[in-house]
Amino acid sequence: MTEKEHPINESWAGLTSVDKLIHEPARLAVITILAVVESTDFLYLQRATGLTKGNLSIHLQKLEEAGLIEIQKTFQGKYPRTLCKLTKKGKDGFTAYKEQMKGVLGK
Amino acid sequence: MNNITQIQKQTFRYYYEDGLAELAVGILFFVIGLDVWLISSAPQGTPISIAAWILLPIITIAGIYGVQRFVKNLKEKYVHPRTGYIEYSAKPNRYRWLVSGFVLALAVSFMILPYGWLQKGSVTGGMIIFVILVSIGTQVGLKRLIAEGILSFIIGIILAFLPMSDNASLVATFIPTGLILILIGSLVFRKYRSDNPLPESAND
Repeated sequence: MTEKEHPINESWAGLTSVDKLIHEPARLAVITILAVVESTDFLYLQRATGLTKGNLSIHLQKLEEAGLIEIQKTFQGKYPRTLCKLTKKGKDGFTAYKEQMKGVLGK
Repeated sequence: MNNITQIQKQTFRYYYEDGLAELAVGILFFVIGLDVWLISSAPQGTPISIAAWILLPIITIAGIYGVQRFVKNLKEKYVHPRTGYIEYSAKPNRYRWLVSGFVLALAVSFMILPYGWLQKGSVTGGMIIFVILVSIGTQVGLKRLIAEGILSFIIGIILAFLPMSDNASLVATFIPTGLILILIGSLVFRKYRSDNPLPESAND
């Protein structure tokens, strides 16, 4: 049998080429939130994802290192605020990820 | 993909979860209602009537800006240190344009159409509040807003059957709806504060 007769192979190829940095559930949740807002802070992301501070910090660091998000430390009154924002690369990556997943899972 | 949609809906819903938006809009409706009451009750041509007419667009325009400032200040003080901060995109989406266009069409039809159901101030007023609250409630998945919109519409319809002028019925729609929104907003805000005590360190 040729490759053409096995359309499952194409879907499998789509799945394996998915960006694993985005595909990880905690990071996917963070990017999903950041995709619909201008920016949000660490506290909101922590409550929305249910992650511990340490865990969320590690995931944010990985996303920042990959250039998918920007992190900015500011103050709101007496409270420190860590703002997270999706970069252009992050937006494009998330759009591409959604398209890939649609291809794999169907619409 | 459903989960992604749900997470994004939840992110938009966050703005309304503390009840502050309802509280602020309720105050605005109440003040607009009081001004329309002055317009309809003061004898025409008197200084009070003229002042009330001049004040109406000022209250409406300043009120929209004031509501945003009021909500922003209260959120900075009570909400962001408790459950976090979100800066939403200022760009209105297609859905918001559609709702704004529909509301504008309703308001214009109230002014230009010959006498009919839409000429009843309470029906138009109730319908405008209904469209705004139900559209937001549906978009963010918050049933409380949908219920408030339906309630406002019912108030508008009931008032249309009562023997009163169009302006008076408009007043009778905005004032009770404003009071209902103030009451619900205050209760929701109280519950939000008791459910989310201020953490010792408010951020990471």
